[in-house]
Amino acid sequence: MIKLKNVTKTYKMGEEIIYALKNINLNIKEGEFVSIMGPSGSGKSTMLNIIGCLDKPTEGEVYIDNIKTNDLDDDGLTKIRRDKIGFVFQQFNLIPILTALENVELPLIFKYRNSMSEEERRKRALKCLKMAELEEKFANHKPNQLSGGQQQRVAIARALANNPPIILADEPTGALDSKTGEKIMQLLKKLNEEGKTVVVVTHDINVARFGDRIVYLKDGEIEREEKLGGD
Amino acid sequence: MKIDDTITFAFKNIKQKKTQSLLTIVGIVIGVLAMVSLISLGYGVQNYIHEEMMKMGSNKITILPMKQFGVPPSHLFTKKDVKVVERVKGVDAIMYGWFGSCEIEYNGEKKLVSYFYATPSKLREVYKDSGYDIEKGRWLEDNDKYACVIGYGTAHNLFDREIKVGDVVKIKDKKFRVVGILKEVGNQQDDNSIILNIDIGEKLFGNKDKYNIIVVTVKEGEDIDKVAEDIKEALKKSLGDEDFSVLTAEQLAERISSILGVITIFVVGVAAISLLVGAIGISNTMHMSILERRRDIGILKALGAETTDILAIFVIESGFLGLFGGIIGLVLGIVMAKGVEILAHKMGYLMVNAWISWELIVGILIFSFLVGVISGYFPARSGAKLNPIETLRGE
Ligand SMILES: Nc1ncnc2c1ncn2[C@@H]1O[C@H](COP(=O)(O)OP(=O)(O)OP(=O)(O)O)[C@@H](O)[C@H]1O
Ligand SMILES: [Mg+2]
Repeated sequence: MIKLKNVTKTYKMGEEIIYALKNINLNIKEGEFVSIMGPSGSGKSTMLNIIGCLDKPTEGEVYIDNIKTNDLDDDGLTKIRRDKIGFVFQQFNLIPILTALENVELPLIFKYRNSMSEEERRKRALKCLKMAELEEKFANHKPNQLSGGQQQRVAIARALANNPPIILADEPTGALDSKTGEKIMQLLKKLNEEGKTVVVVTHDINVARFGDRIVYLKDGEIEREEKLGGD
Repeated sequence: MKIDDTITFAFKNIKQKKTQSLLTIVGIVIGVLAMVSLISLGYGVQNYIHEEMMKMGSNKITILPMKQFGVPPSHLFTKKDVKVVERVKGVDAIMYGWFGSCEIEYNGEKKLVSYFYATPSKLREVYKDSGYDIEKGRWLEDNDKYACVIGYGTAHNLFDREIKVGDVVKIKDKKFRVVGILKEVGNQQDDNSIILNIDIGEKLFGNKDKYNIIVVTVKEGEDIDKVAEDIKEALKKSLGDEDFSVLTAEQLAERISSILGVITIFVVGVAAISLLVGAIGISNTMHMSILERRRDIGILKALGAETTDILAIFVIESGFLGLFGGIIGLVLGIVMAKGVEILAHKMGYLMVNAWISWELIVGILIFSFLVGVISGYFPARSGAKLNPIETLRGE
């Protein structure tokens, strides 16, 4: 489902070249749940962004659902993001002026434009909120009227809107207390069991344990991998 | 993104920042206000003049003994010239006389008025159905001697005590009985006037057989421009020079309008500059607003928004800011123009009118929307091009 081949990402800081990622090879199968761990600055976010087509590698090849994304232009990458990937961020990143439901509708608007009726769109968005286990009475609340856990559920619902095969989450529990964080992880696990490929970046080993496999990064390189026999 | 979704989104953004949005559009409001009121009054005055000229008679030709307005006449017309004009084919009625200004005395006060004398019957024939109606009393008759008709302003506004029909006014110490008062025309020159019989006038002002105005009407069915051309030719032959003007009402109106037009363009230009300042204001706000919403832009892009979607959101937002400013400015501008009109009418300047039309309203609204769109475009474009990870990182 996801394949990184000899992926290197460098940043130029004046004269100096910083290696955010060094020669990464990674294979993630369909339906897998992979956790990525590592110290701050080790390149976790960079890797996730490259998988998510938000960023391009300096060298190497990236395949998403067997599509080589290196060759795509900006609009092509946008389409991959829209159709194949759902993002969940640490800071939830909801649009503050829109209600929970409207936030979930956004990806549908960008994908279907005129071809989906407003009712259909609402129906789909409500279904996603339900999948993310947010009570329907919160659908018309603005983000600032929701708790952190509820906001993250909206963000997950939004990630599900276009029914993408892949969910990428960068420290999804980072802004939540541990109890709420665990509930969010249970939700991601449930979605994984329903067939989504999930990649989670985290500092927290308890969070990482939800995965089938933990990939440890250090200084932009894969230090080691750990297979978990279920949880 | 669907256009109505984009509009909804833009509206929500504007609503979210009510105060900031209001401040932004102040510049546009002022610019549009100035433009609307100036255009409205400028064209109002032009239209008024045009209408008055046409009311004076689209079938009239005025002949003046000078080439241009405002220069002293090089020679005056005489009976001979009147005959020449009268003989031109297509000329119906003809009236000749003199207009100037003089002091009149009433109740111990002396005031300057414009006077006009001609043969009463000829004057009436030429100006029948031309708005010079009697308000009180009667018109002059050809056999009237020391009698006069006075304008509305002369009667009601000029002197401390109003002049009534039957009262006596003095010109050059000669007594004239007021037999009629004209209805209000709307400009000072016509309203503060006195009209005399030609025989008395010539004697009083010492201009025997000299006329500084000839007015003719054209027979029905004749081409007025052709007749005017023929009059010009005939006079040129008989006078031997071209120091006179032959004007149709249309031409008169155009001459005055073109002078006013230049003034209108100038003031509207000044207003446009204030609008430009408003546009810069919008541009600046959009720039700030996009900086503030870098994060939202990154999110939208991560969710699959294309560059053009982002561009559309911000451009439409600024377009609506412009439009809101335009609507407020338009309403205030119309109120202001109307206010000026009402005030001016109270003071007797009937020529000051607010011209309001659908073209003006729609034109201004489209214009202000475009000003918004254009001033939002460049900040929006730089916002739309932002790299999503860059915008999502800075926490
Ligand atoms: N735009 C950039 N310019 C320069 N250096 C960058 C840029 N983005 C990332 N880096 C560098 O790349 C390296 C990896 O960054 P990354 O954000 O992937 O780390 P991370 O593992 O996600 O860290 P954290 O746990 O703190 O989120 C860091 O050294 C960072 O300073
Ligand atoms: Mg990170």
